[in-house]
This record gives sequence, structure tokens and C-alpha cells, in this order.
Amino acid sequence: MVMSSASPISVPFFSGAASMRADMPLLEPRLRQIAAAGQFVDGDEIRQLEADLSSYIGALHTVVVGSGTDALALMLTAAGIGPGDEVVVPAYTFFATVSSVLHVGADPVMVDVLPGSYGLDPDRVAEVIGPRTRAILPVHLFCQTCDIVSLREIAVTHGLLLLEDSAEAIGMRVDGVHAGLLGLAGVLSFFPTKTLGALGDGGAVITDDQTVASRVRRLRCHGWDEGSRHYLAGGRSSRADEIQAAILRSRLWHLDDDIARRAELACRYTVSLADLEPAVRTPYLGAAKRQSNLVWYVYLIETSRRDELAEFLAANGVGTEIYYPRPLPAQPCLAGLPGARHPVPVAATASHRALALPLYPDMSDAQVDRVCALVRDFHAGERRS
Amino acid sequence: MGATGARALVSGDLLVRCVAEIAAADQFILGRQVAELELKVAGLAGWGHAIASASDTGAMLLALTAMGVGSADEIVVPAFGGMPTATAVVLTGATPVFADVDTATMSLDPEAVEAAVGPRTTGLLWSRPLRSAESARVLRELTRRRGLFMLGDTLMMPDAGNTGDAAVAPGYRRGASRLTERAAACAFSLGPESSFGGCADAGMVVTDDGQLADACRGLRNHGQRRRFVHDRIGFNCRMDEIAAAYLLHRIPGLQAELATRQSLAAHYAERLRPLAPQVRIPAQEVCSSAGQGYVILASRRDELRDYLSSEGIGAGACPAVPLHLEPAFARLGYKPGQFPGAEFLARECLALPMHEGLRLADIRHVAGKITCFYQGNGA
Repeated sequence: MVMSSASPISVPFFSGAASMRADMPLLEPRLRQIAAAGQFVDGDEIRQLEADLSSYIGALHTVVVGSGTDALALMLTAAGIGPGDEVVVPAYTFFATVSSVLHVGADPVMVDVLPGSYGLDPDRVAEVIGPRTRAILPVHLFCQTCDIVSLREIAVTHGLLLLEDSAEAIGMRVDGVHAGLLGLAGVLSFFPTKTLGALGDGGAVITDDQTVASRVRRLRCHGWDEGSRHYLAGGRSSRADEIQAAILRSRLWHLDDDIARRAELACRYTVSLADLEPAVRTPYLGAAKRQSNLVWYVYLIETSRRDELAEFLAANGVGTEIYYPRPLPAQPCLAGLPGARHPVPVAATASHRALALPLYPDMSDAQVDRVCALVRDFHAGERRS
Repeated sequence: MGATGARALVSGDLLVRCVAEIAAADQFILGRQVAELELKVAGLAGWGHAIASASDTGAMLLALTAMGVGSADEIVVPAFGGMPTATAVVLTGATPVFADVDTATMSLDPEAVEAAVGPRTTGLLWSRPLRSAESARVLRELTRRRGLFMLGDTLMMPDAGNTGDAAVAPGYRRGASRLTERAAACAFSLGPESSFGGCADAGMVVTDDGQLADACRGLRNHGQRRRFVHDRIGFNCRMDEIAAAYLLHRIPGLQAELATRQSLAAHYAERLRPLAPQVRIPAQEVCSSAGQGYVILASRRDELRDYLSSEGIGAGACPAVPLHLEPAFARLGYKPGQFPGAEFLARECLALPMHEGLRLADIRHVAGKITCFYQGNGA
């Protein structure tokens, strides 16, 4: 079972070239303006992007920075998290969630997630809260928010800060409130494959809190304080540039269309793959007090022979990603930390079964059908063998 | 005349073409353009390896972390210098220990370094050429005796048309390895304010040490050995393809730009030298001047700056506060008066406009206004 007999349509894991071509007429004059002004950082495009994003997500403040990873570290510092503090994070997420906690000198405590939403399990969180716990940092992954309402109740009960890794969550809302604004602050990532992606790294801190916002503004440029004309402590170097800001602005106006197209494609996957249950488990809504709307950043299936399926798809021109091959406590550089000692069976199971299929607005229906046909072929072989 | 270092050589067509090409290639970060830029820069600078990063601070952070610097270490940093370097030291968790500088060269004073080195000191950062071969010898002996590494925090691409003396400019040339047993790497900016003049914040590490280069490459991408397997607590410190493509387009014209700036600097020097002792011209690497402006030391600096500003000439202090007196380092307990060289420079230094768009008439105009100021016609 090496090559499938179906028609050879290749499906890269991500492509944004067609969208970018369509955006160029809008983008070109802005690029020329940037070049003419010679202002590549800290200019009008960034300020305008911050205003546009604030209005899209309904935040009082958006501070654009160099990457989603930097946004996390800046948010934590601005919230006063530092050495001696413990921050509860999920064991199943991208590395930056936990590395940002380490980079500000705090100690991450990694706990298990719920199946379905892959978000922090509130019961597990409650078990690890101790005298040094300062904050909960939940992550919204793939297509829906985590059980943020329960987590917020825990935070309030124990007097903890709720900070959200909403890097993947643009467009996701709970009771009408955008992800990232349900606690003190949240982040966005504009990594190129994201629902709102730039052509390079980029990120933002989003918050309704004036103090956090003004601290992040200062910290993103070495702690430079315009009022006193001095550098204050805790700064980083994390400026987004005008070109990426202009690109993001040209895409923001069709973000809702992109989200709608992603939903169509996700629905097509789910309908087509439904009868492969239980060999293939399509995404389902996690248990939560209040459900979020769905924003399909990633279409993640679970399947028992995941690595073989990924190889088979690759051999047939279909790109996939494994989100994520290891729970964080099993990462070589994290395994020895005190916060890596909690059992994480749900995360461990998912790390053996999860596979992200291609999903982006430039995909055609035929490409989804091609991926589904290959998944079907793979499992037909399984039934025969 | 615009702000210090304002740029006149930016083409809208070039920018549009870069963005369109990158978008069509569907390759965004650390791709083909970045790899090509790294090769070209390594070749131009005469180092074995070049590692692109998101900023100059990022480049220094990668180099320091790759050297194993962490919270137990103290790193000697020139008290008169840029915040990006000091930020990088703090981000590793290490403690910066400031040392005074020589006012004629604005570079580290070897005696001050000797005084700053303590039992926890593991390395020192270098930013400008030393005054003399004797200073270099003293520092080399010190770093060897104490087993310290040196990292060059260079304001420009090392060796790109640099007119400095290689023998006394360690950190700028491949010859850096002659200075210390563990000469490691140089980090520098390729951002919009640098002499290279990119279109986004960007930085580069250059080194001859293959292992150090590999470590930097891993660290800049979340410490990943392979996708989603993290060996080290790395960073997100990557250059994107647009920034790299733009810099690649600028390389062919770079030598000519540097030559222009050198000639402009010579004109400044010729016209301002007669104003001594009120105006003095410190030794400076001309090609760094695009980022920093053309640096002079001026008595009544703030008055002069305000006067020039009222005449429509953008000039700036660079920096106006020595690092040891910034509130960011208040916890380290430094006091005013502790580093007289750095404090003097911070009081007197002024960066005059310096960019390729300047004409000789502009230089004449600026120098004329400064002359007016000191001859009592302007103040």
C-alpha cells in the first residue's frame, strides 16, 4: 500500500499564495507608502493594525509585538509573574506556552487536558494549586475554546490571575466575549499558517486592562518609557514591522470570509470521514459549561495508526502535521522540572493519535475530497489486512 | 534634513517584488532567502558561519545562551553602549557588570574591565575598537588569565568595509580569535536603524565555531532538534523571508553606500575640527554612522541639539544616559560618578545626520550652523 490509485492532486499542509495574490492590489499602495516614508518599525501601519484588531475582537487594547511567543512572555511580565511564582499550564500545547513561563523566571506546572477540547481539565487544575500558584494559563487549541468558565471560577475562588494563551483563537468567543479577554489578558499569534497569518512571525497582547497594555508597550522596546525618557526593567526587543502589519491589515477585512470557508471545509471533512469511526475520530466539542463558537484553525483527527497514516498521506502528496508528538512533560528539556511530575494520561494518548489534516481558505473542495479518499484507502487496506 | 539616520534609498518596487515573491513561494520564515543571506553575510564578513535572528538583541541572546550563560554568570558590559546588548544579558538571567570606557575611542577601558571582573564573571561584551595595541594586549592577557570568553557586540556587519585597525579592533574581524582563547562570536543588527538598513528588526550572529553555530540555530527556533522535539529551552528568534530578501537586494550596493558615508564623514571632520575644544570628534567606524549618526562630542550639548532642532536639523544624544544609571539597572546599585568616562560621553555625545541621501551642501549647512552656535551667533 504505497501509492493510491486515485487522481494525483497534491495537497500541501498549508498554502496562502492564492489569497496573497488576491490581496496584492490592496497591499501594494501601502507597501509603496512604507517604502517612501522609510518608516519600517513603530509606524502608522502598526498603530492602525492595533486599532483594527481591537475593534474586531472587542478589546480596549491591542499591543502588536514580534511573535506570539514574545506576546506570552510580555503578557506574563506585565501581569507581574516572575521568579518564585507557579503558573498552571496544560500538558498538551505548543512549546511556547511553557517556555514563556520559564523565560520570565516562573515555574510552569503542567497538568492534563480534557479529551475533545484538548483544553486544561479544571479538576486537575484544582488539584495542583498551592501557596506559590499565581496564575492559570489555559490554551484554546485547534477549533474551540477550553472550559474557560470553569477555569475562571477556580481562578476567582483561589485569587489567581487568569491569563489566556489565545494564540490560535482569533474569532473564538464565549458568550460573546472574545478569547483572551475572559481573564486579565490574552495573546494572538500571526504565524503564517494561523487563521489570521502574516508572512512572518508576529503576535499581540490583547487586554481590557490599561496597566497591562501600557506595560507591554514599554516592555516590547527594551522597557523604554517615553514619559521619563529612561529604560525601565523587564524589557525585551519585540517590535513587529510595518510590512507585516500592512499584510495583516489587508487580510483582516476578509477574516470572517476566511473563517466561514474554513468551516465549510471542516464540515466537508467531517461528513466524509464520519463512517470511518471508530478507526478515525473526527473533532468533537469538548465538555464545557458554555460552548464556544467554532473557528477551524486546525482540523485534528485521532487515529490509532497515526504515524503510518501520516506517511501514507505524505507519499501521496498530502502534508500533515502532528499536533503534538509529545506531551510537554515528556520534552527532553522539560522532563526534569518539578512541574512535570503530574500524570497526564489524556495528553499522552492524544500525542500518539492526533493528526492535523490540511485546512486553509485557499483549499478546494476537491483537495478535501482527495485527502478523505486517501484516508479511506488507508483504512480499507487495514480492513483487508 | 530629517531625523538622524533617515534613509533615502528605499524603492517601493523592490519592496512590492520581495513581498510578492515570498507570498508566491509559500515559504515564510527561515527559508531559502534566509539561508542565502546567511551564506552571503558569512562570506562578506569573513566568518565561517552566520545565523540570522529576529533582532540584534535576539542575536546576542542566542550567542550568550549558546555559550552557556545563565543566572549564575556575570558578564562585563561597556557602561556607554546600547540597551539591546544589556537587554540580552538580562534575558539570559545573568547579571551585567558595567565597566567604564575610554572617552577617545568610546571603547572598554582594560583597567576598568580588570576591576569589574569577579569570581562569577565568565565573559565580556565588546562593542568598539580599542585605543591601542597595548590596550588589546592587556585585555588579551586578562581574558586568558581569567578564562573569559568575548562576544563582539558590533554596531555594524563586522569587516564590511570597516576602516578600523584590525590589530586593535578585535570583534570586528576574523582576527578576533587572536584576542582570547575562547573568542566566540559577534552579534550585530541588520535592522532599519543599522548601517545595513533592513526593512524590519533583524540581527545576525557570526562565528567560526561550528558547534556554537548549531547551538544558535537550535535556540532560535524553540530549541527544536526536529519538529516539536525540544532539547533546550529555546526562543522564537527567527528572521522572516521578506526581511532576508530585502537585505539580499541591498548587498550589491552596500560597498558604494559605505564609501559615500565615509566621504561624508570626512567632510564633517574637516569642517568641525576647527571648533575644538568645544567640538571633538571621537574615533568611530564610519559605516556604523548610518545607524548612530555621525558622532561628535560637544560642550553644551543639549543647547546645541535644541538649536539645531530649531533650525530643522535632527540630531540626537546617543545614548543620553549611560547604562549603569538607567532605572532598569537600579537594583544593581550603581551610583553617578562611578564611571566618569561613560558619564562624560553621555553628557557630550551628539549624533549628526548621516545617511546616503545627504549631499555635501547638507554637511556644509549643518557644520555652518554648529559653527554659528559656538561663535555666539546661534545661542
